[in-house]
Amino acid sequence: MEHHDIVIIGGGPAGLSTALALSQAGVKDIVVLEREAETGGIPRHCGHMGFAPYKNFGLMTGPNLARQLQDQTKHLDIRTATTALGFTLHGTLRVHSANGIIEISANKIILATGTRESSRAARLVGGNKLKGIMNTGELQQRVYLNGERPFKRPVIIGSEWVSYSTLLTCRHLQVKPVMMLTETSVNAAPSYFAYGARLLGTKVLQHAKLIAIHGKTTVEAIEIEQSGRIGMVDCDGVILTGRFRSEDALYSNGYLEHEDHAPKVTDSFKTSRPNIYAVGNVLGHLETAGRCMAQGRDLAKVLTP
Amino acid sequence: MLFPTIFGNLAIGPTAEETDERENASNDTASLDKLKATAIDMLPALKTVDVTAIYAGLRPATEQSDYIIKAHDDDNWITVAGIRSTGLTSSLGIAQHVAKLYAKHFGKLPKKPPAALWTPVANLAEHAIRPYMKGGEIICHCEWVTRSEIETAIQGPLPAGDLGGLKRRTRATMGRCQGFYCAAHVSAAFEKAKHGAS
Ligand SMILES: Cc1cc2nc3c(=O)[nH]c(=O)nc-3n(C[C@H](O)[C@H](O)[C@H](O)COP(=O)(O)OP(=O)(O)OC[C@H]3O[C@@H](n4cnc5c(N)ncnc54)[C@H](O)[C@@H]3O)c2cc1C
Repeated sequence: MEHHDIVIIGGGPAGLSTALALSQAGVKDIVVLEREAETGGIPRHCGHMGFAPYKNFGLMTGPNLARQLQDQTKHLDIRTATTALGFTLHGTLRVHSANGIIEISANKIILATGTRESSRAARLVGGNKLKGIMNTGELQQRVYLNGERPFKRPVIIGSEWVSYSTLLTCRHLQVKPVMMLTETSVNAAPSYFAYGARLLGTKVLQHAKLIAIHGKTTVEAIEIEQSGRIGMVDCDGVILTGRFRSEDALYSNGYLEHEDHAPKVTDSFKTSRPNIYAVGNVLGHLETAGRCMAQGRDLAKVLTP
Repeated sequence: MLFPTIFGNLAIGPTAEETDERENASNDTASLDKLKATAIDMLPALKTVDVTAIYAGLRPATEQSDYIIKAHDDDNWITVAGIRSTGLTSSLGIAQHVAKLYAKHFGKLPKKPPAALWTPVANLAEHAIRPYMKGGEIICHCEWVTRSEIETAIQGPLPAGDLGGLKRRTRATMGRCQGFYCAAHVSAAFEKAKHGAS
């Protein structure tokens, strides 16, 4: 069986910066497993400004940050198109690659699998199954990687940081969202974001809940509730943003103790198993890429005292 | 009813509501909330588990509650309709019954039925070998669907015509992320496979 000192699962900002810092500290035998065809994680398809490898320093676009990380880690043993499928009963990893499934063991395993937005089903939004309903993650891949233009008059659901990233994506598409809809008052992201939205000409409707999505084959309207009143809003797309969930497939079966949709960790990123660590957005919240990279550097310090 | 599926999920349902709609199946939000509450009642640990997928279908109801199975001598026609529910369980029995009706009203059935048009579908459940276990390129990461499965789905006598069909053949985009990670890749792979095939 293949054995390594350190195996990192996930080649996003958190996984790559951990790998880089470990190798700079002299650790030799590190392997990064990344299931996509290239590393970089979420920033690969966030084609707007707002990413910084250090706090407030060196601001750039997501794809540029991804490219920078790829360049800096070129010399490392990084395996793309390689998926960690799960842990075996003996604590080794089942790993898929182009040639089949292999088992890999390691002295230490680091989870850096990131996070994703909640789907329409998880939000229990009724109505029809239609074209034009998606998360920001899917939208940005369609727009920035495939060059698609999925709709012209979407509604944006949510008012977290990511909802404004969605707004920027719409601007890039030269598409004007009909409105932003949020169940809370606009406080999930800094309030200047809401002003930003209004500046871009998008109405922000607060304390309103998406009930159902209607249409025949593509989205035609959404049904919303605001202070007990039901109303319909015409649109041709629905972007469900935020409500992030840790990418938990490797531990949600109970392999690691977890709570509130995230693995339990100590201040030094230790999970409930002695040789397994977790870092970056897999910890449950959406942090900036810069924060995740800083966490990676901190974890490297913990592992190489 | 709360039951495990062959894909390793738990499913809760079904419900039934009368509707005049003939084409468009739609989920009623209040029913979804009720179903989730019922599931949690039955298995409290589900409280912290997200729902992966929801779906609705139209059961073919008629004005009567029983099935309608009838031969119409003058029209060369056998009606087999109104099979609202339990249709899967009864399908073999219904087929035998219809064969008898045919023999009685329209003459002998051919000894050997004509060859069926099969569309091969890869095994989709973990109890037996699945394509990803032999390698290849995984495109849908939640359900571990490979590119070759997507290519196969658009071949044969009954190719998947759109992404909906592709989903049902392969389970691509049907897992926990519902497309956050892979939907854009899956549709690009689908388009690419279609162009390669035509
Ligand atoms: C729409 C959007 C806009 C954003 N905008 C900004 C912004 O403007 N500025 C900013 O600083 N931050 C922004 N962020 C946040 C930033 O993208 C994240 O903080 C950062 O990507 C987190 O890094 P990560 O490495 O923890 O996770 P990810 O980037 O999600 O990387 C995880 C990696 O792990 C891989 N992986 C997962 N499971 C497995 C497995 N089983 N086997 C192998 N590989 C696996 C994934 O393919 C992925 O490459 C945004 C996020 C989103 C979604």
